[in-house]
Amino acid sequence: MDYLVLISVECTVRAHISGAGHLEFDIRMNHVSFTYEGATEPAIRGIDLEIERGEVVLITGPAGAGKTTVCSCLNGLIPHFYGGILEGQVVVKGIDTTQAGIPRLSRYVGLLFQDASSQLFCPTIEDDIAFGAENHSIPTEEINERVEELLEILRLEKYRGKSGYSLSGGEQQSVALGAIMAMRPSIYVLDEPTSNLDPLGTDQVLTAIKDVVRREKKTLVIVEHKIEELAPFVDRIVVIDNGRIVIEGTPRDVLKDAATMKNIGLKPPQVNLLLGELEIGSTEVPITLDEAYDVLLKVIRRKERRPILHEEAVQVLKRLGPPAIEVRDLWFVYPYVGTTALRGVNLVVHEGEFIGLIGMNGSGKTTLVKHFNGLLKPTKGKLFVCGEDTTAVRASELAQKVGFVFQNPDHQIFKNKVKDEVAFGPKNLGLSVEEVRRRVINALKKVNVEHLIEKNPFELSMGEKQRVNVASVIAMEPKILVVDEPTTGQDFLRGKQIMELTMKMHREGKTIIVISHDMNLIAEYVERVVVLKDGEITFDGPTREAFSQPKMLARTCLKPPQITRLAQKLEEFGVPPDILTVEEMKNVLNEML
Amino acid sequence: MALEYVPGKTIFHKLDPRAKLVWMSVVLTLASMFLDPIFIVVVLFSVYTSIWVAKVPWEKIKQLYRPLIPTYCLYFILSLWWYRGPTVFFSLFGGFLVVTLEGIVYSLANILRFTCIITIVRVVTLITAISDFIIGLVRLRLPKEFGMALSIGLGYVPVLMEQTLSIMNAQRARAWRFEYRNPIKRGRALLAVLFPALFMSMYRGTKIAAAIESKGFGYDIAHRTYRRQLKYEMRDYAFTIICVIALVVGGVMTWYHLAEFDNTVSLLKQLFRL
Repeated sequence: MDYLVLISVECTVRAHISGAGHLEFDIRMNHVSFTYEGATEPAIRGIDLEIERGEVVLITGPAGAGKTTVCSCLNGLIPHFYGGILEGQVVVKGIDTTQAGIPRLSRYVGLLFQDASSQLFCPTIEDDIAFGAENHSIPTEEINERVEELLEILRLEKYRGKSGYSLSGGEQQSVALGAIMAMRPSIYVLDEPTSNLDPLGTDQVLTAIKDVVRREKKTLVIVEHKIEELAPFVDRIVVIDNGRIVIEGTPRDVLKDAATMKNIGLKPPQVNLLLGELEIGSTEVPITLDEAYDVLLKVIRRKERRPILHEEAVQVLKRLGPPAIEVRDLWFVYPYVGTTALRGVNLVVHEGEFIGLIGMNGSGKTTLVKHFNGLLKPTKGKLFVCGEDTTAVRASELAQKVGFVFQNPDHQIFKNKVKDEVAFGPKNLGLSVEEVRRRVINALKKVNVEHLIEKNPFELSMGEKQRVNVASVIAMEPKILVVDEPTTGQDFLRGKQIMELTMKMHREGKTIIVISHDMNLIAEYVERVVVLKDGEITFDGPTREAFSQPKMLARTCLKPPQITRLAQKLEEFGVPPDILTVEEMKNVLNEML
Repeated sequence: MALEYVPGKTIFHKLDPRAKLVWMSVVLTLASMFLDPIFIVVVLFSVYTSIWVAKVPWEKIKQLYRPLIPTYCLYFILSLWWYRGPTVFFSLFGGFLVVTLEGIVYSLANILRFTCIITIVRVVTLITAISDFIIGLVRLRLPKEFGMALSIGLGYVPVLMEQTLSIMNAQRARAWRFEYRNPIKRGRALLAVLFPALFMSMYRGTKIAAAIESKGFGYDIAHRTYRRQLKYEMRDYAFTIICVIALVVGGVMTWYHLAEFDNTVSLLKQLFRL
């Protein structure tokens, strides 16, 4: 019965659209606005978007801009799953989404969500991949053929029979993508598929997506912050801010104005920012490193320069204080599973240093820092924090020396007022009421959220929650601050805000240790880089030195920022190969043009 | 631990999950019916044989027993106090604890029954993939929606465990402690984990529900297909027949009181001339 209704709706809409002559569009959003139930402001306002069959569109914008709401409109989650007021019309493959349920629309639209682990709920990865096809009543033999094919395409064969839960983030997202592909939809809608992934995971997923698009020639709508990686591959970029489309066009058109994109909190390719600021009189808009190289090749003049590292290393060494953390031959084996996560790590972190821990997922970064505040105890070896052996001290006592800012603020918020949330740590330290109050106010001031003191933390935006999270840690006034992946799952602006905050703490004399996959932020803020691979330190030295060794980084599936890679490509002209920021590159090139 | 699956290609792995469910039901019934330790040992021996044939690592079984040893010891002592037979060995504390042959046999029988029950459940879950179980249950007329809920629920356990651990770590990093002796203090301390865990579970639950619908669940539930087709083969029929025969024999023995623990008591009396 339902099916007949669907056919009828489909025919009606198709007939209507044929009359209007727009049948070539896979997606049409006509002045669409949506206000979530309980919200006072619409999440999206008057969105007009038409996407042709086979077109590849990148939708980007800062956090909270309404990108996910657009995705949810396309497969019917809005209005069928998320309640609220929908205005305008969304037509997908000729079907008005208000007239067909989500399961029916899933025949046409495959939606991949940001959080991979919430999409894998079957006992094995084969079951996860087959799930959608099973729901569509595809015959068993065909389902198995599709599963086999996808396991091979997505390079997941070695994980047969395993639960998706046991895989890395990148592999999980590949399985989730496979589950969508097995449904063979006409339109792929991918909502930030790589935002929670390390560089290797990002590469894996983007490669798989590019393969799909090339092979199947399907319509693709991808929501991402990683413009640098996607710009060369998409037909069109749509920038959404505050619920509205603010910029739209081909990648070259949109990236002409990289500075505007940066101002609204996006991260345009570094080469665009650079060429936008250089006065070379070129109208070309390069969207890849190679194109930028070709543009510069025409105007650059050779000039010998020394690597910047040489001058800076002396300054860094001068600032070194006594050891804040000393790790001696640290081994750690996870009980029950028996995985050896750390293998003889030796490391000295001096007071007042700003260190970046980098490496791919599973390299042992988080395991190492969890030893710093006693959340984990060494299987073998010693670890001293401010001269104290951590094996002899409780985690609750170490908490006043080492503050740990976790990635997800929702993992710790449980009080109904910001002031109580921030007071939680100091109270646990047994401080007096006056001292707790003083610390709460100080901490909130430092992170610029003192106006939220009486608010319920559950009602705050993610960015505000993260600031409260930082305040609740610094209220314990630790000497050392560990920040675990401040940029994962965040947009560029939020990640940068957290890094600015840590920089502020650093200037006040705190020792900072940051774990991050964002090489641009590491390059911009961190003085010393420690690279981990398979539980061992493979590099420990100044950031410039680390990024001027692309081969060493490649062995750990990392690569220097785009601007550094451009500098290395231009090394033959005398450009220092250890340039880390667009600003530095601009200054150097201005002397060479 | 209960969700672990040990892959293999043995005869027990190849059995249809419905045949395994029949086997498990029969063993559970026999273990519940039999009161004589000798017969329970026979049933238990058959289960151990299956472990050996299915090449399940013994460590998996030992992991199951290890935490139960203190409970077994306590139960053994309590049973002696609870069940007093006529064949007295000695008494302690002025007759408060009387150790009798019947009491020892009775408590041993119950320990063996319990061991038998937990072992068969563990073995069947170790040699059957959850997805096969679910399909088996759906074939046994379990509603498909319920099968899906069960599958997702079981799959969610490790996610929930990791999430709770992350929350505990986040709170411990803020000097949180819950090792209080006072249960009220301990309960209050646990709120710091319970609230975020509840919030995260609700959040994730919504995400999973959205993902399930987005993948077309409910499209045509009556004609939903499965990646794996179960077929009751000859070996499954043979195995089921053996199980049914065992059940009938056990039922007859119970009916005629042949599996009471008196038999073992009499045997031991004759052997040791008590």
